[in-house]
Amino acid sequence: MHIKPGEIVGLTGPVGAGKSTVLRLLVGLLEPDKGTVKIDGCSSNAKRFREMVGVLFQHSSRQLFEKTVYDDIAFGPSNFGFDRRDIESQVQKAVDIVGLDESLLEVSPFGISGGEQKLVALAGIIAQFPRYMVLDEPFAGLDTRGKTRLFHIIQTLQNKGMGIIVISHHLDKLLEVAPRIIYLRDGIICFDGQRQQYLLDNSLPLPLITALMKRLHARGLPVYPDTFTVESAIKQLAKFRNRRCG
Amino acid sequence: MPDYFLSFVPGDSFLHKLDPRTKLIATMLISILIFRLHITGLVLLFALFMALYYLSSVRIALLRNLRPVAPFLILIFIFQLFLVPGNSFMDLYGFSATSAGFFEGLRIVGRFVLLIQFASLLTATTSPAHMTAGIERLLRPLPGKVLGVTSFEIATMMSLSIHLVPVLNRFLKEVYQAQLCRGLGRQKKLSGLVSLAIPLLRGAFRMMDDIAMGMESRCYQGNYRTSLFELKMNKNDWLVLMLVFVLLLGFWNLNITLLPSYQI
Repeated sequence: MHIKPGEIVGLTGPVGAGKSTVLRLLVGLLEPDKGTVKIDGCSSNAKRFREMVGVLFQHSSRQLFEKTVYDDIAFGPSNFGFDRRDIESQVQKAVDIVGLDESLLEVSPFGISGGEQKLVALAGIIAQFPRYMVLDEPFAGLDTRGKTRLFHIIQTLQNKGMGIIVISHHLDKLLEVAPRIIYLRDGIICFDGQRQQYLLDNSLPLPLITALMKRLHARGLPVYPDTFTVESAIKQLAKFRNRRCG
Repeated sequence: MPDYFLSFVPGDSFLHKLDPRTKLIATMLISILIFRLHITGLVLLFALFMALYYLSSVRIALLRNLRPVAPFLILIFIFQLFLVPGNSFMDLYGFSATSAGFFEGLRIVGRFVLLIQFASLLTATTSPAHMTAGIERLLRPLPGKVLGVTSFEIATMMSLSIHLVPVLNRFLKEVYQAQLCRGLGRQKKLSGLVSLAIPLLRGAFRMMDDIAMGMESRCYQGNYRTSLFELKMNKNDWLVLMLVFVLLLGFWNLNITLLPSYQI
C-alpha cells in the first residue's frame, strides 16, 4: 500500500477488517509483525511518525480536556515544541481551515455541540500541520451540513499538499471524497484502485444509489451504472422522466 | 498467578466452595481478632493463614500484595521505633530507637500485613459475583427504607463497578493513544496527567449516566430479584464459622509476657 502526498485515499471494509490496525501502525502505536511502515523514507520511529501523521480518532471529542477551545487546539503544537508566536499563527490557520467560529475560541470545549467538538478536535490535529492525516470515521455523528463542511475541509487540506486517508463505513460519502479506494477484508487488500473501477466491480459492496442505478442500467435504461451521488442520480432520472413525458 | 492486587483466582478448593457469607464473616472476625493480638498471637495467626493458603491451592503473590502499601508500612514502623518511649538501644540524630518502639512497630506492621493477606485470600477465592451476592444477603436485614438505600441497590452498584473496571481501562487506553498522537509525553509531565484524567472522568460520568438511563428505561426498581447465584449454607460453612468463633474466644486474651517491660 503506497500513499502519496496530496492524495486522498478512502479505506473501507467490514468490521474487524483491520482498518484501525492500519491507523495504529501509521502512528507507531503498533509495531508491524511483518513488513515495514515507511513514511517519507524513514521507517519505524514512533516519535517521528507522530510528528508526520496526524490522527483524528473515531471518538475524537473524547480527547478534549483543556479549559478553552483555543488551549485545546494549541495542545498539540505546544507539545511539539513550537514557540508561542508560531503556535498562535498555527492555531489561527487551523481555525480558518475548519471554519470554526472565532467566538467559540474562548469557551469551554465541553459546552459546545458534538459536531463542533469534532471540528475542534480536527483543528487540534491540523494545528500540528502534519504531512499526512488519517481520519477514522470522520463522518460519524455529523449532520448533512457537518458532512458537507468536513468534505470541504478535506479538500482544502489536500490542496495544501497533505496526504489524507479517510477510514469510513459511509461508502457514499467516502466515494465522494476519495478518488482512490482501498477495500480491506480480514487484513488483506481486496481492492486498491480508482473510484470508477471500484464502482464497476460487482464483488464489492456498493452504495445503495449505485446498486439502484446499476439495476436500472441492466434493465436497459440509459443511466450511468457508476453513479454514486444521489444528486447525479436525480439529474439523470429527471432527464429520463422529462423525456418520457415529452 | 494473578496480575492485579486483590483479584480473583478461579479454582476448586475447599475455600472456593465455601459460601461467600461464611468467608466474609470469618474474615471480619479474624480482622477483629488481629487488632486484639500482640506479636505472639499474630505469629500464630500467620501460621493459620499459611495453612489456609496451602489449602486454597491458589498461588497469590504474597509479597506483591504488600507492594502498594509498603511505603506506609515502613513509615509506620520508623515512627513507632523512634517515638515510643522506653529503653533506647540506638541514637540517630538525637532520636532514640527504643526496644518498646521496635516491638510496637513490629506489631502494628504485622497487623496490617495480616489484614491484607487475609483479605487477599478472601478475594482470591471468591468471585466478584459471589462476593456481591454474599454482601447483598448479609446486608438484607438492614432497614433499607430508613437508610434510603437497599441491599439490592448496593449489590447492583458493586457488581456494576466491578464490571466497569475493564471498560474504563480500555477507555483510558483509547484516550492515552489519542493524546500520544497529539504529542503527549514530550513536555509538561503534569499537563499530560490532566489530559488523561479529564477525558476519563468525563467519559466515565457520561457512561454512568447512559447506564442509569438505560436501566431506568427498562424499569430497574432496586428491589428483590432472583439471582444466578442462590446462596446456600451447608455443613462445612457452619463448621468453619464455629471454628472461627472458637478461635476468636480462645485467642481473645492471649497475651504472653516475655519481656518484663513489654507485652508481646
